Amino acid sequence: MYTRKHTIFETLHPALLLAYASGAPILAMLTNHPLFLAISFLAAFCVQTFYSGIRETAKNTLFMLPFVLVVALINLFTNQRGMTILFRAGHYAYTCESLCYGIANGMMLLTVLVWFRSFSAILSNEKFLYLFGRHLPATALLLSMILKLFPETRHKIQSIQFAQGGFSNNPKCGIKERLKHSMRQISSLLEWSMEDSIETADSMKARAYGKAERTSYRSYKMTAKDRRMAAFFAIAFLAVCYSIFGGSGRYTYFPVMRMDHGNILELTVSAVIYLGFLFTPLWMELQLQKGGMRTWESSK
Amino acid sequence: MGVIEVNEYSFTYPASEKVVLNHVSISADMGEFLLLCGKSGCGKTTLLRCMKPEIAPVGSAEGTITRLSAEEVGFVFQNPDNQIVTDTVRHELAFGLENIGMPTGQIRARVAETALFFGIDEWIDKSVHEISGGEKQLLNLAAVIAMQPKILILDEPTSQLDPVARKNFLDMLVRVNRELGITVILSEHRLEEILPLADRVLFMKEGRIVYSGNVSEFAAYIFEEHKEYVKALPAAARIAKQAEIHMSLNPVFTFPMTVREGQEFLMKCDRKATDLLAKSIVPNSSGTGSTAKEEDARESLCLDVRDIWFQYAKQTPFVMKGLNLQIHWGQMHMLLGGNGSGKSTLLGILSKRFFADRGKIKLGKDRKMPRTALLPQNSKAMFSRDTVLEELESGGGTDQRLIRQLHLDALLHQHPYDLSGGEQQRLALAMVLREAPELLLLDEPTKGLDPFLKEELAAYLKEFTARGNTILCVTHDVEFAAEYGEVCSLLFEGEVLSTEKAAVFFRNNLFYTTDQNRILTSYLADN
Amino acid sequence: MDLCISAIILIVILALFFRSFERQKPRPRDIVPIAVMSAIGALGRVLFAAIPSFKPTSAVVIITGIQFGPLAGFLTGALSALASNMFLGQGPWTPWQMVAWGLIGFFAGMFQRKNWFRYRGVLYGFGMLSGILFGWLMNAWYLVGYVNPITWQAIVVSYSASAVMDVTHGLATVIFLFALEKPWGRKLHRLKIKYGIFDGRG
Repeated sequence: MYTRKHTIFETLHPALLLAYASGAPILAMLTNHPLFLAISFLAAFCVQTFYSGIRETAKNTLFMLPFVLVVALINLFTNQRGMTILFRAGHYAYTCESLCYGIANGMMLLTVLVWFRSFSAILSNEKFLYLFGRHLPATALLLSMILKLFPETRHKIQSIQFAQGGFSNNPKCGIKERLKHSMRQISSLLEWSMEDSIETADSMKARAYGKAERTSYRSYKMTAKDRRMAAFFAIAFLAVCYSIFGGSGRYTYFPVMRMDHGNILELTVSAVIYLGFLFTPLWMELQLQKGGMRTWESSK
Repeated sequence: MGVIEVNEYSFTYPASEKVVLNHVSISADMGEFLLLCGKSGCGKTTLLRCMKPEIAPVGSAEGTITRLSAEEVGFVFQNPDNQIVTDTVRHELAFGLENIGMPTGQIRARVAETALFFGIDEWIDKSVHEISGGEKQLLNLAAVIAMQPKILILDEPTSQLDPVARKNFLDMLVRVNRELGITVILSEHRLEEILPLADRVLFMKEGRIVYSGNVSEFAAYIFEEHKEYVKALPAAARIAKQAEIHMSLNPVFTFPMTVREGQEFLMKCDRKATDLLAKSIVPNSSGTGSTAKEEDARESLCLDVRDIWFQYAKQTPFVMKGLNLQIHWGQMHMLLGGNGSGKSTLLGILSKRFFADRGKIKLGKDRKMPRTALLPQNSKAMFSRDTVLEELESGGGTDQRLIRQLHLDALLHQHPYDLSGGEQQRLALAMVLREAPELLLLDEPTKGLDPFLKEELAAYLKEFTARGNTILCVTHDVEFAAEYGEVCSLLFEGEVLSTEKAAVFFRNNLFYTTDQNRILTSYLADN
Repeated sequence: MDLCISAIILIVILALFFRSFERQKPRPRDIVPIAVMSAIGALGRVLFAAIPSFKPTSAVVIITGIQFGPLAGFLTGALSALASNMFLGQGPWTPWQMVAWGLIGFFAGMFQRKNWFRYRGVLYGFGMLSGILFGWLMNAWYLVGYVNPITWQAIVVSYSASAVMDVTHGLATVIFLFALEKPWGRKLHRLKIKYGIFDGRG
């Protein structure tokens, strides 16, 4: 899968990347106001396109579309609130509001899924481990060891299948036979991996593991720029939350669909801020092109 | 005063009578390069581990060893994959430094310096599964050196590497020793390249150090006292010994070690006699086969592989590119080639694990489909049960003759993983031979074996082909192929470039040949 | 909103277990088997590719809990889920999976401590239930988040939709436990003796 590398956005402190990568889906989960949903979906789609290319993104989104339908239908069939009746079956009434509500919830799910698709492109495993390791060093090391073992285990599985292939590749075998072969192969895998891991443990001891309080190679400094961005993220987050919970961003589906306290100005402002926050990776990248002489600063 | 001193050290494993180390004394000076050699199971690994307290085996010990801290003694293990702990090259380099609690700034500087010294800076951002086995072992060396040890101990560090990676690794090791002044203690089976590098050799036998001294006299000592170990010596020394015997020279004391020294040695000898000697060692078999022979060849054809193309998945590169190969009944056929040349894939195709996308495999004139068995590179991939006996019984009855022949009778109740490398391979061989194959496919059978085990294996394989069976053996081990192969093929990028009788094959090759050929053919060419 | 609360609960559970692992000052012998078991748990399914939705993960996590204790069981389950999602792509289900598999391993370890697994029936019942409860927890993540209000009809619909899968998962786990629990116990026991490591405390 293509992943855009070396973006200007990734020069930010990993904590900010985490705040963005988890903040965007969290905000998406908080409201089913159609406007905010649309903004978040658009942004999620654009950001994934930015990182993975349009083909990958379109393919993924189409692939996840059925989930939206499932959620919409479950809502339609299990929720009988709402005034506009679409059709009746027996004494149940299926309403337009319930369908729309279902679609909104489905879109929310889709948006969250699309956001998560970009998660590891925004926050690389390396940076994730750094953030994780600051408070949980042993757990982060363990996780790093698991990541190292994954390709190795896959290779072992291939070797085992190759080596034992002579006995088990017979397609005439029944399912019970095949199951038995596979069980034996997974036992081979256990024993081989465990024996090998003894040497890993020795190698850790040989390099003084557990001798002293561990320090970390990874270090990222919070710069002034990072702090400014952090402030921007915080303000954006608070503004959107305020709008969702306290003000213009409320939207009611039942019994009829309408916006609460329709303060259009407030809604517009928070929507613009929301856009600004969600599109951070993109506008930062654009900004790069007009850097030029601005990096030179006379000392005051 | 040495950096590390082992004084009258003896060691016994718990619940075992056998004394593994018997009053061993060693002293290594600052900056010395020590080579520790001896047969598998002579106690080398135990000795090396005892010098590193963190990983010293548990058991009863007598005598003393200088106690050094974890940072002062670096240890590099055999298997390149297993000793890597973390998932990225960069983090692996930093791992030891993090453990000793070095401040972040210092770690970063040290990692940078080490990476530059080892030339790792080009692939420092990679994940450890993206680098080759040779690079992994270099990384392991670098990760240990980053901690600035006084002594570096290496336990057969190159036994799992291919020849090119092995040479690279040894070059780097020499730089570590010469430029950084770090004392090196190395155990190895393949002395060919290492002997010339060492300052001092220690030879172990049954838990004792029986020789400790300089390199050139070591050869004389081995010729005198341990004839069974002669095979392990460099070709130059062996040729010089032959010369000494055949031409009744004065006894040689300082044996040549490298190819160049070997050539110089021959130059100094009497020319006619040397000529004879050279010809007797390299048989001058005629490469041009008569028509009668070709007729013969058609009769004995077992498999005719024609124009095979293969890829693992659509849109991935072809691994076999129009490969042609003829395998004849009753021959030991060696297949040489670099990493990624498609050697193992070919074995997979011949054993019907993979199926070619294009091309044909035709049977010989006798139209007989050979029963085929494959011995995988790593025997461990075959084991899943708790005793040797269970493994052998699993595929139907056990063949007592086979068990005796492969010396497995004493091991029947042991766990497969408690066997030594050589024994594991014999067990795996017994398992694949159960089906009485006529074509045996071997994937790197000599990896990690010492010269004796190699000879044992070769003797068995010879007997196997003598019974009319056929062997196709994929190997990196040029010496093994030259000594035991009847026919050799060179595989490169999914094509067989040449197939010749072994003697002709190695005489024609410039680089892909044995040291013995290097010394002698250039000599013959000169005349 | 419910989603936030549930996310916080999940994170607290994870943090509690990770913290207690940190506080133990784990040695290589504590760490290495967890890493190996996590990798096998996550990738073992490749060997069973011929049989659809037949995954050994739960069984591997249960065996780890039994052999190496509740904490190791939890970590194996949780990190195996996290690490495989790092390859396959994260989703909002990641913390749910981590906790679900983690708890399976934890309770397996606790049951073993109480010596309840000496009856094979309990072990198999545990395997079956773990499969079903895992499915229920996985349903919960989207029920809580995306179906509102949670009516009993919604619950019935989504749970019956996944019932077949959950039962298959449970059955697969039982089959794995039946085939592997004893031999793996033997193999791991041998390693503990041979290398004098892997013991819970030793």
